[in-house]
Parts: sequence; structure tokens; C-alpha cells
Amino acid sequence: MSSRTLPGLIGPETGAAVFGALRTVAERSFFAAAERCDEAAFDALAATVPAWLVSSVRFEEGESAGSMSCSLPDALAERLFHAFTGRDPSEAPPAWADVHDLVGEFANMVCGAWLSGSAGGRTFTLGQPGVVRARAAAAGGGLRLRVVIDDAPIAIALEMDAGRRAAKSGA
Amino acid sequence: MTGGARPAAGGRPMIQVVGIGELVVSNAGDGLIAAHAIGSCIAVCVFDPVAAVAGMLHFLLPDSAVNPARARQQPGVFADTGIPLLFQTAYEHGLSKRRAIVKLVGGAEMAETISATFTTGRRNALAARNLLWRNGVFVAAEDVGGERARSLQLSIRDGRLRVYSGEACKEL
Amino acid sequence: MRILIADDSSMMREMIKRVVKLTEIPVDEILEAGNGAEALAILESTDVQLLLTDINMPVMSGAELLRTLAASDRWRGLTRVIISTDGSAARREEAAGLDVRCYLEKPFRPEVLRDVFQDVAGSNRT
Repeated sequence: MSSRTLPGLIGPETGAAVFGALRTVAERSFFAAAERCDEAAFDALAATVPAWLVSSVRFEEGESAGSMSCSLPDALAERLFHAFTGRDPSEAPPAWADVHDLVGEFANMVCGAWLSGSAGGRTFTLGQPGVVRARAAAAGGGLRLRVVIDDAPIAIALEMDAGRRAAKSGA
Repeated sequence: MTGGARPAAGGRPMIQVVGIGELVVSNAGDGLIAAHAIGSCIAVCVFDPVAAVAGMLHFLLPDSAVNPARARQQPGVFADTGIPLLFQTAYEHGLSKRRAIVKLVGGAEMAETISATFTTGRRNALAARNLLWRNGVFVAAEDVGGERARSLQLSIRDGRLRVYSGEACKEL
Repeated sequence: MRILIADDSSMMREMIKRVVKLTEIPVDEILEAGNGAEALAILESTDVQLLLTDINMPVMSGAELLRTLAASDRWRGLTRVIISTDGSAARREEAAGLDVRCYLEKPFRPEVLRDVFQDVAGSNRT
């Protein structure tokens, strides 16, 4: 088995690897179906979203560092919250601090699952996720994935730090 | 709601067949509850070993929001209306949630329905797990996914669940 | 049995607590910490039998916490379980040398955590 470093994996296969991590996280911990989405369909769904929650997490692995962000609509965030915690949606609405925490943990798990599968067995560190409200999904300068989870749009952006090994354009 | 039953013949146990959108619960002792040709549908099986209550739901789709009228007529068609009804019916027959052993079968991605954006079998399995987790119930075992239909038989007396797929048979 | 859950996500802690409670294994108390330093402070003042800890946490990581615990005989009886997104081979290898009983990688289904807890809690009671 070859030992691959993280920067070497920021390539055409990265999109599939990140999507695989997202799908695994969505299914195992959130009981949700994740499917890839083309740009036109994603933009049509995104146009109906009044506000997004954007969760970003920084990562470092050896010489490589960067950040991953997950952007999703409020309504999807709330559905994921109920799925993860097992709370009944008919109960009182959750506190937004708790939803933000959960969205941060979602990004943490997706990033961690991707790195665990891609970093050639090496350890990595993840920063504490930050969650902000935004009018649009985070664009990112590197890889961008458009996905639907239970028919709601979610965008994943992956960016490597400048000055470290540069990211190639991804799928 | 209740599936069709075949009367016992030649000493064989009675078999109650659960069709799509149906559920059967029994504490009658001898007998089997069965479902046939489960493709993307999910069979939710419950068993209480102390009360000897067994039940099976055979649902087609995850979410009743797509057709509330049909959900009112036949709640067993959907996971979110059928699973609560399965448990409620099982409680009425003496099942205890604490003792309930729950198993899932089905959720295959059948060739004629596979497309890039429509994966009913997977969604059905996820919906079942979601409902069960929300209600504080763990899944004891499952045989889900793949691309082949399954048939199954659940023993009312001891909860043994046999799953058939092609030539293969296994106990879950 | 007293349990300590260390994770910087309060919702992850809630999920873990829910699984523990659903198993109905007798638990005297479930304590929580948001980072390794908080966890260590609790362990220094409270008799805990089972630690469930994340790795990537602010202030003090789970790895640093486990190294601190492993360096002292004081916590010899403490059962340690890692619950982390870091499933790298290197981290697992490190954990093996730190008296970690079980390594559970996120994401996980509730049943998997249930099985881990039943296994470690069962050993704790014997």
C-alpha cells in the first residue's frame, strides 16, 4: 500500500472522497440520504433558501492545512438536529445555540471522516468548528461539492491554505 | 390492515402474509408472520420473548407527507405512520417496549428503480432507523440494502426470523 | 458507576447520554466536560469509573488528557474509551499504548455505541 500525503490527494478523487465521507456521516448519525447534485438543480434549490448556516472547521495534517465548510439551510439544520438527538420534532423548537453546536459537529464529523480516509493513516488535528449565519452558501476557493440531503441543498467547500502545498482543482 | 392468513394444513403452522402497507401482530402462539418479495420496501419485525408477541409491518415509502390522504386510509404504507401503529398495536397485544427485539429487512435498490437521484430502498431503511431511534428503540439486527428482493418468516412463538433471498436462507 | 463524557460538542454529549440511558444499565451519575482540562479537573476531584473522550478538543486535547492519565497510577482503575472523528491508524496506535479499552470512530450508529457501552460497563461491574 502506498503512503499518500494529504496534498497529493487534493485532486480529481477528492470530490468523491469528501462525498463518501459526507454520505457516511449523513446515514450513520443523521439517518439521512445524501446524493450529489448538478449545479443547475442545486442553484434552483438554493434560490429558495432565505438563510444559510455555514460551519467551518480548520484542519492540519503534517505540512498541510486548510478548512472545510458546510453550508446548509436552517430547515435542514433543524431536521438534522432532531435526527441526531432523537428528539421529537413536535416538541418545543430547539435553542439555536444547540442547532449551531450540532451543525458544527456535523462539519467536524465530515472533515474528520474525510481525513481519516485520506491522510494515509497519519494523525490530524481539527480546530473547533465556527458557525455563522449567511445569505449564501460559502463559495470556497478550492473544491466545491453540491449535494442534497433529503432533498435539501448542502454545499461543501474545501480550501487549502496558501503557502502550503497548493490544492489542485477538484471534482 | 391485517394480512391474509393461510389455514394450517398437514400439521404446518398457520402463515399470516403481510402485504404492502399492511401490518400483523399476534400473540397466538403457533404460527408464522410472513412477507414476500420485499424489494425496496422494509419489513419491520418486532418480538417480545416474555409476552410471546410478534409483529410485522411492510411499508413502501418513508414519509407520509407525499400523500396524507393515503396515509389516513392506509397508515402502514409509510414509515412515519406505520411504525408507530405497529408498536401501538403490539402494545395492545402485550408487547413491552423495553423487551422488544426489533429487526429490519429489505430496502434493496431494485434495478428497475435505480436512478441518480431516487433511492427508495436506502431512504426507507434510513427512515425506519430514524423513527426507531426517535422512539428510543435499538435495532437488534438487519438485512437491508443490496439489489435482490427478500422474503421472510417470523415465528410468533419464539421470534426466530428467517430471511430468504434467491437460493439463500439465513436466520437473522 | 460514574461516567464522564468529554467532548466539545454539547449535542454529541447529549446523544451519548441518551444511548447510555436507553441501555438501562445502572449508572449513578453522568458527568460532562467540554475539553480535556475540564475532564481532568473532574477526575481529580470525583471517583469516576468510565471515561468516554473525544480527541480533538480545545484547551487540552483528548490525547493529552489520556497521556496525563496514563502517566499516573491514580487512575489505574479508570476504563477509557475514545470516541473521535480521528480514525487514523497512527492515532489508534497511540491509543493502544495509553491504556484505552475501546476506540469508537465517529460517525457511528446508536447501536454501535450501545454495544461498546454494554461491553465496557459489563466489565466494570464484574
